Amino acid sequence: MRSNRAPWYFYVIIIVGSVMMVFPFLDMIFSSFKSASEYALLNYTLLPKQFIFDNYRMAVEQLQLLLLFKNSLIRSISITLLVLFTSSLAGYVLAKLRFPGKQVVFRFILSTMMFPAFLFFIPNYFITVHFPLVGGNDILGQGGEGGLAASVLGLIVPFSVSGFGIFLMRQFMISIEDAYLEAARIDGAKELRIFFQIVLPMTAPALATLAIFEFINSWNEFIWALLMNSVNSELATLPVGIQMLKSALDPTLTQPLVMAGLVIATIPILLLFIFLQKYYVRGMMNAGLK
Amino acid sequence: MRRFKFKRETLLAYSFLSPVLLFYMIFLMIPVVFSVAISFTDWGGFDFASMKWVGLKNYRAIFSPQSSFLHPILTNTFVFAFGGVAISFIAALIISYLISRMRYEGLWRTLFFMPAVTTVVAIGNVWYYMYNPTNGLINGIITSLGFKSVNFLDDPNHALLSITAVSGWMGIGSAVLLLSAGLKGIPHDYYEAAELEGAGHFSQYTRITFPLLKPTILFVLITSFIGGLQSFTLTMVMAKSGGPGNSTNVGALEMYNQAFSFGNWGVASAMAFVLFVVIFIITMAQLLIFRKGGVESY
Amino acid sequence: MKRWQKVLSGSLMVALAATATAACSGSKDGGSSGKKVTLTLLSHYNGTNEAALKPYIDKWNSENPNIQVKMTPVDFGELLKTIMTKQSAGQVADIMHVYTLWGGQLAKNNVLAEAPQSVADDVAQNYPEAAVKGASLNGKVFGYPTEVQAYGLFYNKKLLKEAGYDAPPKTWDELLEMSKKIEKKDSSGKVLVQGFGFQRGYAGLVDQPFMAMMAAAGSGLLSDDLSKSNLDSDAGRKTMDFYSKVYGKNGITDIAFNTTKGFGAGQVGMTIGAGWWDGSLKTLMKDAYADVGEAPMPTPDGGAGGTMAYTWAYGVNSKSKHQEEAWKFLQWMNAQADDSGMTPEGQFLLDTFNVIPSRKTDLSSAKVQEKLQSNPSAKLFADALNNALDEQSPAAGTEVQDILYKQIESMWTDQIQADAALNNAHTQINAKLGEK
Repeated sequence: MRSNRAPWYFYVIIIVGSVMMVFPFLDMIFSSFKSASEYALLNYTLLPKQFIFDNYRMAVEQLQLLLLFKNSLIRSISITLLVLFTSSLAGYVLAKLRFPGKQVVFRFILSTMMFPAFLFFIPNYFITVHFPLVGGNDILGQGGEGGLAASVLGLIVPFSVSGFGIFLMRQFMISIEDAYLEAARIDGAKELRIFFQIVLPMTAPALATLAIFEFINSWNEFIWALLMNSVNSELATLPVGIQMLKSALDPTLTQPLVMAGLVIATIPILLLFIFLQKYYVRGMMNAGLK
Repeated sequence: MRRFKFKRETLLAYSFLSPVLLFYMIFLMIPVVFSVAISFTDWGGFDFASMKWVGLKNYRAIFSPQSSFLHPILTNTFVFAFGGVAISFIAALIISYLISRMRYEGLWRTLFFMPAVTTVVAIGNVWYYMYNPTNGLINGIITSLGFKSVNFLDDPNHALLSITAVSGWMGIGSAVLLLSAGLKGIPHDYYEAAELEGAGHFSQYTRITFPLLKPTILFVLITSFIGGLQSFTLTMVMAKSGGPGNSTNVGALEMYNQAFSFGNWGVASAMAFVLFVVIFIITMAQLLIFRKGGVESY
Repeated sequence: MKRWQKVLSGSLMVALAATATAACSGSKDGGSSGKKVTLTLLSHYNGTNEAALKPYIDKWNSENPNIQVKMTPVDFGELLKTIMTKQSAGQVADIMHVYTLWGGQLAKNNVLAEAPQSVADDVAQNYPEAAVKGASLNGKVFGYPTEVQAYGLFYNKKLLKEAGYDAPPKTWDELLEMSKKIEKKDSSGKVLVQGFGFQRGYAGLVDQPFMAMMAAAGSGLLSDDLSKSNLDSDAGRKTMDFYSKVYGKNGITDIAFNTTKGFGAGQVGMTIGAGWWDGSLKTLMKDAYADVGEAPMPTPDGGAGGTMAYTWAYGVNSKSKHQEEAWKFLQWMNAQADDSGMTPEGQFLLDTFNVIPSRKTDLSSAKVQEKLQSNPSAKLFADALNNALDEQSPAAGTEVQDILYKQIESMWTDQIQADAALNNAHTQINAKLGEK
């Protein structure tokens, strides 16, 4: 095997590199067990003198963990499902159907990936809170209590389509043999049935990749969630809730507490990734190869 | 008959595309028009009645010699984006090659990818404390080696680079993933042939790996550079409003603060546009390089 | 509305309306259904402070089943943004605890309601002048002042004594001289004990001591009519000069050292802080808290001088549908004394921050009088209010503070000289004030 050929110094370099990757995570975990007064001491130690669980107790007390987890989960799951749906539909059309304007639409979707997100930040905020007929708004988007942001929709809807997702699905679907589809068409299957019964099952690996990608990204997304949280505090997600643990007025009292919160927020997603990384990596590599 | 089918397929295509097109209409087309419009006004984001048309005033304010937007903010943006890409790319180039020839490739890749699946809130906070000059990990190491402790985040000479380094650190995993994919595409025979000729690791790399990896390399470089120009979450978590002074402030962060902290939506929108034009020009220039570098499908 | 505005807003909304597919309605509080009203209260009391405030709210809620109050805690750093975004989105918080520096910006956008006459009269009669000014916009009272906090000198008795000093400094020169003696560095230049340092981290934490020192030197940051900066005055120049001597090339100490953290660890000789900090030092330092001493702001020449006090106040949202109920709650919270002779707010301030409430009826209560006798810190900061300037709040208040903050930080980190920092801040603040 090729792997036997790696000389020892390859291992040295990679192990040193890995330590640099992992160390901040260890620091986070150990700091979360330090007491505030130990944290205030002026010499660094990795291990706490005493392992104290108070920070976790306080984090659980001060964070509305149930609400945060609920919001983060609802948000990530909904965005993932919506993106899978919209991306595979559009990807299928762009890969397998012939119609006028196809090139224009494809170019357009590619170009959306080049628009920087901050360009839409202000207008999308405005549109979200003044979305008509939602959250008490009238047909002109006025008079309500936050439009989409009155409910968890504000965290979800602006992320329900992904240009990258469409691109990924199209690339994958192009490689599906036309013969399968033609055969189904001859059988008289309706296009929707072809899509659901033939195309989707064949694209399962790409869907899995996209699902992991979207789930992790929407779990970790911070800026938009922060903004939605300031409109409506019922919409706090985990990263936002933990950032709020930090007290701008008196940071000395809260640092280890924040670390405990961060451990609570990051460990589940790290575990999820480690379990599913095979599917993710494989899909991303295939996408990258194209 | 043929014509009927054609029409049916068109109808079907557009009905399948309708959710996506509708979405882009609401959250992309309208916002762009809206944004352009408010960049010519003085507006605090409340009702339309309080909106005042001010012509080019916001743009003039941004480009005025007193304004800090072009320098240091825009220069910082470039340093941040370029530095981050440089760090993650060089590291990834080495790492992806090494692990492709090692045991447990998946394990290594997962370790390097961990920061990419962690929220920036966590990364920013942890590094913020690690950089602490008095009781942070890094200065703990520096001083125990007998050097003077470094003021990473408070010294304007280091602050921007310190945050940039974290951004580079975060980006290694994704770059490794893409480059690994590129490496897998290089036929193994090439290396065997080179080895028969007695070529070492380094010459194998420069003669075979690097030339064949060029399209992937360009893709990684360009997408992460553009990503770096837009990002501001890390700066916000680590340096709040981009301090000390403006020494770590970047374009998108300044825009965010103008809009949501100071209520200057007009100025903020104008900044967004200036920044967008800059990014657009760079993207176009890079697409040209792409084409010349042999990546035609993008 | 101008024609183009109508066209823009109309077409935008029509386009949205036409494309709106999901017409599901979000969670909407049935405010008017039945008699029961739920008021939302937005404040920066989060974490332990929230827990301390909760019993009072719970008490009100159990006594007033028809007017329920629900707390929404937000960190201080996010509160203004939260108020502004909530307001523009229509997610109106009925009661808001606001930092009065934001008053101008909130007034410009018509966020706060005017107080009913009875409340206005009560406030005018029962609070010190700096507090009444703080809780007023354009001369009209908008709510109840709560935390009125003055700045003073915090010092570590033990460190002062070790360096041979029995008393805190009276003049700025003494302060600098003492801090040089207290400061200890190791061979590599790392600070072990800081003589004097300023706390850092966000605009207010750097600017407020600056304003307090300027007040000690005899001037407010801005002119009384808020139209221009006073930085070019003698007081402004002296203060900036002092600031330039603390950190940076010519500084007495290293900016890398975290003064907030270091003071709590007993490694800082002196710093400037507001009254409430005493309470959190007590929590943090435990036994070592006995070393903490507090004194009035030193002045340039050792003569009598002022300080700066900032104010927080409860106000009611001008867009709230339940303003009457909101005032009812605020009157109970701030003006209605229980058997002990104290208002709920007064008890909260005293117990949570070790701060003497500024309301006169609270001041005369037995518990507060006893505290003033037994606790020098509480008395010191309460007395300081008598010659404190209020924190001025022009419409561009946050921007003015941001300008000053960035110039000071640039100076401290040797990006510019003290003169340039002063001139930049002065001209930029004037430009900002002239604009609005």
